[in-house]
Amino acid sequence: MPRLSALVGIVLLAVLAWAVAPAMAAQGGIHWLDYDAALAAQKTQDKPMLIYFHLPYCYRCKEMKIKVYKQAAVIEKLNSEFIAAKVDVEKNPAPAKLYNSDYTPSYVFLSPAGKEVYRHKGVMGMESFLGMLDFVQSRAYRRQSLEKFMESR
Amino acid sequence: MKRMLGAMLTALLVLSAPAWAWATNGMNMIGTGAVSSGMGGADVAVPAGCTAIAGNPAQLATTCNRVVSVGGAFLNPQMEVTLPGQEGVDNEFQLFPLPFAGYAQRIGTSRWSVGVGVFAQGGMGVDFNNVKNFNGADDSLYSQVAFMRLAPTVAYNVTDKLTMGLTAFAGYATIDYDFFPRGTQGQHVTGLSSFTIAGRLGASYQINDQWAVGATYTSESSMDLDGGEMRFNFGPGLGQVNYRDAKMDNFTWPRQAKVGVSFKPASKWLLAFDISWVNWSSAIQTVTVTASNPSTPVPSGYDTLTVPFIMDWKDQWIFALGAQYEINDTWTVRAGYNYGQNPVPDDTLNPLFPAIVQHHITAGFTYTYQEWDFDVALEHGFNTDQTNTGAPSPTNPFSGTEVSHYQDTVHVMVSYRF
Repeated sequence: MPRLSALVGIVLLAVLAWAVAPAMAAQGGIHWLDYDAALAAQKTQDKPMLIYFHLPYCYRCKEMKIKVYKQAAVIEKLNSEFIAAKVDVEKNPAPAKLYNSDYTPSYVFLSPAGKEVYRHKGVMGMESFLGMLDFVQSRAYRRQSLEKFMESR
Repeated sequence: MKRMLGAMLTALLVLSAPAWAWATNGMNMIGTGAVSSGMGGADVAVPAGCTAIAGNPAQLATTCNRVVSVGGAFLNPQMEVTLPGQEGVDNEFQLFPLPFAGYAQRIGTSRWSVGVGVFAQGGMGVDFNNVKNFNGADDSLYSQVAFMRLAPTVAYNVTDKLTMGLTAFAGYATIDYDFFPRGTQGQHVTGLSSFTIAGRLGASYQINDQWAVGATYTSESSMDLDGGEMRFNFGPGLGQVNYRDAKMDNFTWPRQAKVGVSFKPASKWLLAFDISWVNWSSAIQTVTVTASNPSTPVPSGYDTLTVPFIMDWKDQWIFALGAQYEINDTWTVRAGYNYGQNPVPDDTLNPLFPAIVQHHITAGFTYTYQEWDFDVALEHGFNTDQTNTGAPSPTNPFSGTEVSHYQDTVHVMVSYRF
């Protein structure tokens, strides 16, 4: 009987952990790395990379923070499936120059091999942003546009 | 030279169309562009992009990159004037285009943004035909006050939360009017114009992700309206005399202070509330028209005429409330309410200058396609009735006259971000 109770307890704890895991992950927010750290991380992880170009006083970047980057689904997706790099284009202009991206907010995606595979710019809603992450993760960019991909979802 | 510069500025606005307005908070438009107007003019603490050139210059910093906007409004006023003992007369159909064109950009990745735009600040006008003049004959009342501004603007992100902005206004104003030109003492005045200079200082502070506040102060635009002509009707005897030089004194565009707050109760919602104070009491008192240099010989004492319009407008408080909801990435809808106190006193109401509308409701939307925004707003100014209660006198010829006024406006704008 004690064994049964322990088993039930373990199962309940597992279910609870499964249920709250996304929220726990979301609580910590997106694990943004700086550009160099993200490049280093990609060498050890087989994940695509998002390079997010922003400015701290850019209104549209603030919109992204409120509408998208605080959402649990986005946090979970980025933290688990992507390497996320955040580049302040004023303080760290070299990556912006390298990718010719002074527009804020803008997004450049690199494949796990480090090759640029997709870019986008402007404010997006959460659903559109998640769709873009799926688009890159599934490598749908090889055969169709983001618009077509979103229509087919 | 003055006329040439004026013509160039006018050409920037619209291709020679009568781009002048009935405006609705006194002589000012209630909002700047379709987004602001859709929210009832509550815009001082709301990101504005290019239209910050005509609103809170600090909000220019929200353009982030580069944006060009072109658009304007079409305003249809409906008025009726009833002189004592007469039937009411409706104004002629009028549809005024009010253009806006602007460009703004952040300077590289710096904290500075710059922009320039040209837009119709406001104005007013009436066109009443078949009104009986003081001699009992069919006559007309007509006026057209037009004011446009060229506005270079700069904004600076002082911190991540505080932005400041400054706009220099180079304005150009014109005034024409007919005051019962076929009757004794009647006047037909054309071609009064003036360049003006003014400035606007703006600030915006983002308290947190939900709350923001903003404020602007606009200086007075003193006008030196001259270069016009007047045809004055002396009635039997001297008849009509053309004066080749006419000017108008003491007509000024007022200074204004505005504060506002915006609140995001949820990520897709935005609420905004503004309070404005417009110093009409300093700007519009006794407006004097002076005519000189008659084209034909006149008796001594008739070389120069002085015509006073006692107006004595009151300071105006304006309250604007707006809401915005983002349905999805493509569609955003807005609604607003605007109340501006009537600055025209009962005892000096003049049907040539009846800027009396007080209550407005607005609704609008934005359709976003990639880097394009298509903004539309509808505005309705509810009917206001006012009667001149002043005692009849040479300086108050419209004693007992009643004016009714309402209006509808459509705002459209297209913006492209790049």
